[in-house]
This record gives sequence, structure tokens and C-alpha cells, in this order.
Amino acid sequence: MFDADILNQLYRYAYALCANEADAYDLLQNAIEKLLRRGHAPQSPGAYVRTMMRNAYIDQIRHQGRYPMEPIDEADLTAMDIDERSLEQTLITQDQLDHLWAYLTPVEREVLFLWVVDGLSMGQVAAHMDRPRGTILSLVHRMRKRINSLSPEMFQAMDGGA
Amino acid sequence: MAPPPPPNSPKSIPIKAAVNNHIAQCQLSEKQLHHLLTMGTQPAASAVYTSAIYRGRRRTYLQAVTLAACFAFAMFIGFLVGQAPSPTEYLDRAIEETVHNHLLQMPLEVKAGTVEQLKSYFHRLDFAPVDTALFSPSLDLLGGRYCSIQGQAAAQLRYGTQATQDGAITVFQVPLDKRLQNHLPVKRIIDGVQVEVMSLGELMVVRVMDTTSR
Repeated sequence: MFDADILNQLYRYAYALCANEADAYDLLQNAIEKLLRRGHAPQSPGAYVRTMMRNAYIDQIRHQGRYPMEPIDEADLTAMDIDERSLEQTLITQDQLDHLWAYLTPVEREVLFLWVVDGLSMGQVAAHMDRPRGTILSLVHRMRKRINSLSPEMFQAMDGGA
Repeated sequence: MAPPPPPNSPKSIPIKAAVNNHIAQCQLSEKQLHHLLTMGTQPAASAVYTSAIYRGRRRTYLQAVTLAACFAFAMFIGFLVGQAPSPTEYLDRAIEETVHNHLLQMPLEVKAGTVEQLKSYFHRLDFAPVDTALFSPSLDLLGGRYCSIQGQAAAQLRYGTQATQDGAITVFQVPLDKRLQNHLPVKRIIDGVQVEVMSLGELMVVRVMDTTSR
């Protein structure tokens, strides 16, 4: 049903959700097991596995009491640059992104994955995630603000003080 | 770790490229790939017993398994009944559920500026949703959707700014369980949102609000 390329693509999506390779593999394996138990292949097995992984991960973090969203600052809401081009213009070193990845929320990582890897526009990301476009743009705005405000000490803290 | 270079430093790259590079590093190992590729291809175990003695033993065995399963099921049901949530547990779970639903900001099923317009939409509920200035004195009613609280059908009303359609306040309404009356009102702050649970007539109302909203 799947070849190595597709399995790796699905694995990377799982990794985007949970930012941990071992957990990503478990998510993928469990989703494939569920697919095999169905008895008949769905129309789009890849999309099915992705949905299964996403639902499983959301259930997991919900039970852990982890909610990734932050409240919207009303002052920012009127002044913010609600445009995905502002995210495209954000610069970061590879090292910083590698360290920052685990500290992003699952929703932020998923948005980045859909935008970067799947090549979706923010409007398409919003439709895919079944959320208002404004909510996704607000999230992008907050994420960019957070990235731009990170100080050397904060990156050091992520690095475990190394 | 060295301080981060300024944005125009040669080491800085667009975040899109950095994310792409980071994710591309993720690869399944050969062992993992092999396992996933061969899942579901193991031969099924086959039954080989055909003797009359086995058939007799199998009948007895199946009877024992059936009896044990019935007993276990009865114990399980008894356990569940004995474990009905206390009012405090119910409130904790309802609060967790409504905070999660508020943060999800699922699309509204119906957009409406007054609760009168919403009442015909919520015809499947056993109650009519209400709206008061208590819920949001300064934001607009944007609309609503069906949801559930601890398995019970509920109405979800969202308040926010018409211009952006972002819901800063969500109000959930469900028939009030009388056992909760002495435990209300409840007010908490969880993960940056404020939750208030109150009784309003025959309804339990949960108001979830971003802490910067009014």
C-alpha cells in the first residue's frame, strides 16, 4: 500500500505533530495498524493515516492537559501584520530552528509543516485544519513575535546551557 | 552556545528553508521501514486440532471462557456504575472539555447576531439557549454550533469581534444537573483562559474567556 517514500513523508508529518522521533514512529505504526484492521483500503490511505495520527495525537495531548494555544492580545489584534509574507521574511539560523522546534506548540508545528512541506497557503492551511483563516494568521503572528523576541539566553536555555 | 547572529547575518536563512531542512532530516531507519512495509503480511495461525477428544475439550473450554467473560463484564458494569463521577469530578472534566473546545475554535455552524436567530437552529436540544449581557458586555455574538459536554448535547455560543470573526469568549450551555447546584459558581484560570461555571435557571453555563478579553 505504501512505499518507503510515502512512509517517510507520513513519518515526517507525525514528527511535526509531536517533535519526537520515537513518538512519531509510534503514531505512524499505530495508525497503519488501524488501517490494516479495516479490512478494505480507504480511497486515500495516506490521508487516512494522517488523519488517524492527528486524531490520536490530539487525544493524547488532551488527556495530558496540554493546550497549545495562547490568548490573543487585543492591542496586537488591530495592529498586527496579518499576512503570511511576514512569516516568509522571518530569518533564523538552522541551529536556532533545530533547537526551537520542540518548543513550538503542536499546532504551530503542524501549520509550519503544511505551509512548508505541503506547500499550502495560509488559507489552505486553515481549511485543512478546519479553523478560521484569521485564527491561523493570529497564530502565525504570535509565533513570529515569539521567535523574534528570543534572546541569546533563551536559546542557551533551550540548549541546556551548552 | 554563541549568541544568535543578527537577521542579516550570512548564517540566517528564511524560516521556510530552515523548517524544510529540519524536517527533511527525519528519516525512518532501515529496520523501521522494513517493519512498517511488512506489517500485515505475517501468516495467520492455523488450527490443526480435529480429534474428537479435542472437540470435547474445546466445548468445555469455550463454556468456561464464556462464563468468565460474562462474569468479567458484570464486574466491569458494576465498577462503572460505582464509579459515576462526583459533582467535583464532573465539573473538572466539563471545564477541561470546554477549555479545549474554546481553544480549538471550530468553525461556527451558524452565524447570527442574536440568540433569537440561533434558537431555531438549536431545535435538537431539550432547551433553548439564552443570552445575557453577563456573557459579554462589549463583544458581539458571532454565532453558534452544537457540541457536547461530558456526552450531553450542548449549545456553544461564540462572542468576538465582527471584523475579525475571532472568538474571544465561548459560552457553553447544557441542562443543569441538580447535584451541581451547591458547587456553583466556580471560577478558574487554566492555560491562559478564564473559566466561569454558573447556573442560570435550569441551565449550567460555562463561560470561557481569553484573559485579555472583557
